[in-house]
Amino acid sequence: MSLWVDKYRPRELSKLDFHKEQAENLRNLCKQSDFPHLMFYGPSGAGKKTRIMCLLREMYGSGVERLRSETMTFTTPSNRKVEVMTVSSNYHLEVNPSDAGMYDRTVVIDLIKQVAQTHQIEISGQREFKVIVISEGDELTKDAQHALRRTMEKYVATCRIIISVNSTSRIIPAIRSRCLGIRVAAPNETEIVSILQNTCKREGLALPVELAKRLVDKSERNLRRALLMLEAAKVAKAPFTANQEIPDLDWQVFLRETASQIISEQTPVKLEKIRERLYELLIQGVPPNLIFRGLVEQLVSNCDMSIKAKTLEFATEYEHRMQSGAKHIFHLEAFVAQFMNIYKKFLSELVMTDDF
Amino acid sequence: MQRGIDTFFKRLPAKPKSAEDENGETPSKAPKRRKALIISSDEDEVVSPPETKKRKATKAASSECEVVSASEPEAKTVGNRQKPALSKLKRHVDPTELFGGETKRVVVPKPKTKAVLEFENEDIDRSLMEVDLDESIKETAPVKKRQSHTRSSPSPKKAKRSSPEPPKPKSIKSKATTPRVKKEKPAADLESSVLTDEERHERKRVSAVLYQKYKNRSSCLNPGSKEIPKGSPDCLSGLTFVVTGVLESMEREEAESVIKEYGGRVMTVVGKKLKYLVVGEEAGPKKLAVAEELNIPILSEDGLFDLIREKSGMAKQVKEEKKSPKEEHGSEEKERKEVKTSRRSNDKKEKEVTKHRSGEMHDVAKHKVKKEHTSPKEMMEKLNNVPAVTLKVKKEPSSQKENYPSPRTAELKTQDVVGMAWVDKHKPTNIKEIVGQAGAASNVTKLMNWLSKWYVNHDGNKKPQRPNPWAKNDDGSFYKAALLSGPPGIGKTTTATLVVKELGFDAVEFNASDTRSKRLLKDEVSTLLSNKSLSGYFTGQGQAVSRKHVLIMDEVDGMAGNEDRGGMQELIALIKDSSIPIICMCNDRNHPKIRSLVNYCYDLRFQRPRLEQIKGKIMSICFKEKVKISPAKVEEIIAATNNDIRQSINHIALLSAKEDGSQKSGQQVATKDLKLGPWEVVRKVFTADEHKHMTLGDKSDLFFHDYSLAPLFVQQNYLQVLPQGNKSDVLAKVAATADALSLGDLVDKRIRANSAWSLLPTQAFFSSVLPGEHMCGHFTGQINFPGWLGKNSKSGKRARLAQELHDHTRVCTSASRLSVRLDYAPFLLNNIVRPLAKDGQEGVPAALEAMKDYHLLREDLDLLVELTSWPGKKSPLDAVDGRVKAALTRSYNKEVMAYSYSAQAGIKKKKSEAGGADDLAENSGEEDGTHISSEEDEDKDNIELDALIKAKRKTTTSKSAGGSKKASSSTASKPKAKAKK
Repeated sequence: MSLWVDKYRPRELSKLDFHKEQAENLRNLCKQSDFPHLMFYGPSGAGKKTRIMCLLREMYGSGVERLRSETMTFTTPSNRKVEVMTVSSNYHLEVNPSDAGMYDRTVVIDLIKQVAQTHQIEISGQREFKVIVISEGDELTKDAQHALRRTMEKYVATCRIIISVNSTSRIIPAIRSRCLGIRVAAPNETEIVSILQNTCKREGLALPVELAKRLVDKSERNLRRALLMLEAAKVAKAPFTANQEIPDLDWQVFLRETASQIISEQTPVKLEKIRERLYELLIQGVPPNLIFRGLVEQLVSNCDMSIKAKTLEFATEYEHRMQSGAKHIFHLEAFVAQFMNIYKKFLSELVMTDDF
Repeated sequence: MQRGIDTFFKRLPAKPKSAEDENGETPSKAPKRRKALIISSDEDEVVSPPETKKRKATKAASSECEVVSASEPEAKTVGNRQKPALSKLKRHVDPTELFGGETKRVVVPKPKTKAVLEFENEDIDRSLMEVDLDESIKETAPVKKRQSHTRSSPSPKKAKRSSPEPPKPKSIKSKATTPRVKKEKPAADLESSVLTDEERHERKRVSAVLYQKYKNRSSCLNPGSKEIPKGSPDCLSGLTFVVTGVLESMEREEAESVIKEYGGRVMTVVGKKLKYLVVGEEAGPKKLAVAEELNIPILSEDGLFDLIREKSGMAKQVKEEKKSPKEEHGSEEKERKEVKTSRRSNDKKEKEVTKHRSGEMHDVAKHKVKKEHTSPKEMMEKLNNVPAVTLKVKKEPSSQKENYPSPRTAELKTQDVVGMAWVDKHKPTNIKEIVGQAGAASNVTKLMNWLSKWYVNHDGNKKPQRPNPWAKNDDGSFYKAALLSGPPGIGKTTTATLVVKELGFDAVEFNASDTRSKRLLKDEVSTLLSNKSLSGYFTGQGQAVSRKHVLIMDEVDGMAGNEDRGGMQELIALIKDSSIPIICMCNDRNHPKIRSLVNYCYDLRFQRPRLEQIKGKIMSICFKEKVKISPAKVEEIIAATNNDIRQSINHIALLSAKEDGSQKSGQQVATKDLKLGPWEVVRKVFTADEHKHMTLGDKSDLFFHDYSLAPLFVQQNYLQVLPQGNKSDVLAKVAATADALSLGDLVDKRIRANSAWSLLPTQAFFSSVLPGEHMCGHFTGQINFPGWLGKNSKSGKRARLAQELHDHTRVCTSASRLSVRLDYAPFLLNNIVRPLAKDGQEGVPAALEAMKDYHLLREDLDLLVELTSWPGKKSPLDAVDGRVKAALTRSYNKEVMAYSYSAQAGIKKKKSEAGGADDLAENSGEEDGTHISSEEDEDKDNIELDALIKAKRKTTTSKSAGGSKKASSSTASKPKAKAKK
């Protein structure tokens, strides 16, 4: 009883629902004996991973679907044991070096190099190289990326690396230039709607277009989220209606409430309560930049035009500081404090002008 | 022993005596000295029966005298002389008193100063004189005769004895003083050899005790009670003074400096040139006696003042004065004067022969005193206000001891008082003087009660109950040990030692400078504690042998390192079956090491005394030391040292040292660098009052008390502060503060990432000083511990859980860690829980199916619940009946095989083994089949894969593979390693 997301995941390049042209190109690529390192980039929920798996299947056949997960242990130079979970088939190895945190460089050096250095003994299979899939590549530290780039060049004969990233901005240019970039954009609204309706059809349900469109909005064109929400909506109310309620994600609700509290009251005491809420969000693993984004969206939409620009200015300023700082809460709080300040000032001026 | 030897000596010289006697008149000095030694023996002969008896009775005491004399060559002659004196005195007077007087004499010569040499010479002179005087002086006749006898008799012996020694002939030939000295030394060696180690040791002990007593002598009684007259600058010029005893209103140094100020000269030894002897209480009896002998006027403190006034032409204020001591001795003095005069005339005759007049005077004085020992004695008693000790001392054997210190004081004072640290100099000498321990509920009182009742409480007959830890008025009767704890410099050790002293216990002290390992404590201390103390025997304090020990373990928190390993346990064991009270001391009562000890100890916590209490003490010290310092300054110093008495005194001493140089530099008080706790720091950062006296540097220093915690504390608490100024500006200030903190965090990151520690001052400004400036005001709420630490670790934990979940579901989902957590988790949980909540037991298979699809462990369910929990939101699992949950767990254990990561989860292993064992065969067979058919290129697996396989095989074998159902579905991956070979 898998979730629909996984149940109806396409497994072959030919069965992909969107970016079909790109899928065709990938298939052609596989037909050649060789292909370069690849870097799939695109937002979360756009189907990068699905596309990579389809590509691998295209290359190696169904063997790549026989996955096994293993825990591998590495010893860092400082003699610390790091355990990293890998998923592998006979033809490929999928690893997320950033699981090792700051020790990802060790993983890159030890594991990837080791795999890359070994030749396939029998080439009677389809390919003479193995594939290493690095997921969440943009989480790699600079050190790890530098360790990777030489490996990519040196062992190109025995392995290919496929990196999956959300944004290429955090990948060093040296790696970017070594990879063939493949952009997997988020599907557009019509594509998502058709996918959702297809899914419902296979489940024997009818999905009103309005509801599908609202799902698209709510999921921010994240296909995974849209499918999950669809299933949740189905659980809530079995035959779909056009205006039925779509359950929200908890953290989104929480974030919205936080923003509205900021608008409702601007005092140090309130700021302290806001701080607690921000802490809660951070504890839940909501990335601080998402928090920033959520707050700013809510705040800007709820405040007067005159302070919108100022709010955005503060947001950019503090988000930038947060990225180079260590403790996220300091900068989130500073942003909230600044916003409270200008908002309060704006309100009091408003009151004064009203008095006149 | 001694006696025997003495007699031995005596006999030997006896024959040559006569011959020598004639020679004795001749100037050979060396022989005379020997004479002195022999005198005693001589007398033994003469008075032998009484002498011996007496000696036996007071053996210890006399032996001490001898040892002293023996140990120091110069002293010897004197010692010898005393012996004869003793015997003589015995006849007239009560022996005890005799002894008292005598011992005093004995000690004087000890120091190897010139004065001593002079004595020797004098001795010789005297002996010469005495021979002449024998008949002339009637009153002293018996004594004199004896002396002459003795003198004459030993001289031959001396000659004999020292004959082997080279210097001797010289001395006979020439009168030169130098050879004499030389001779003495060998003689002394001989003598010392006579003494056993024991005796010597005893003497050392006794003298140490006496010295201690001297040291503990109270300082002046009423400092500053009298006004020091202002005389003309040189009104005392040409006059010499000796100050002895404790004056009423001045310390001795003070008195001396007063005298010097007015042109007078201060001597340390009473000599002929001395013009006035200034006496106070507990005056050195020896000095008094000598002064009387020499007819030196004796002044009281008032007398001194009167003298100053007189000399500078002012009217006398008080008349009573100096005569008082003299009058006491009036009658005796008359006699003495006669003697003196006659002697003096003789002296003059001899002058040409020996130039050492002053020394001679001493000598004469000594003899006098021996004769009239009673007078100084009485005087002393009158003068002695310090009751307990001195009174006891009067008892026979102890009298000597008492006398020891007096002569010593002369020398000791000059050295020690100058060189002593103020802290030691002004140490409390009785428990009343301990600062801040006066009350009835004070620790001193408690400790005294506890200690005094200790032997009653622990006599083995009754078993005291362990008191309720919260009981208010516990007297500690249960405990065998007391633990004094408190910050340094407030008098814990002083309290302990003084209380012990007060109650007459003997203290055995171990402090951090002693090794206190388990073995040492066990061996040494425990044997030590079973010993009996002989000190009572020597000091004559009532019971001859004391069993009342106290073990003082100072600085127990310093028991650390290899040397003291196991010391704490041993100490506790020691306390458990101790037969004596133990007093432990430590600074930090909450130290983990101490905590185990606390359970066995009567807990006495010392608090810092209040500022006013310390101030009184400090001011009186200032006065005594003549340091002029304003009370405000004293307060400042005390506050700066955080009410540390010891350190305050040290600061005052420092101030006084540089006082004359520049008053201004004295103004700047050295402040104790206190380590403040972060709470205190953050309070100071924001409190406006504190800011008044702080420079920018001070403010940034606050940050450095703990630079890693300070920014967190500031960030946590700045919202609690109500800043001064317009209320409408509060938010602006808050925003500015938050901005500064944000910048501070950037600096912090830079510091930590690049080890750029030189940026710390920058961070100090952003993270502490600027917020302090912006939010300067006062706290409205409690200061809290930074929440960031807890939240951070919590989010770290959640992140780990999320990663675990991601790892487990990774095979069958495509999501990244973040998406699994934010998007998947709630739906996944719902998917599992929904059937359970809806259908109860019937929902179990459906839930189990969902779990299997995503390769979840049973634990992952709880983990999911935790990851999706939000404050104020109910856990979906709460809606599920407990029995249903149990059913789920049961069926999960039955059906679901282990995954490769199950081992890490650390559970389940056994169960899966039990459940999956029978499946194993089929599974592996089945899988093998599929494998071989579908993947022949498996062989191509690289060597590196072998490593993987190996690892896998390990897990599979241990865990028993299973999960055939996964293998069958093409979409799902294989959860577990198959027996792939």
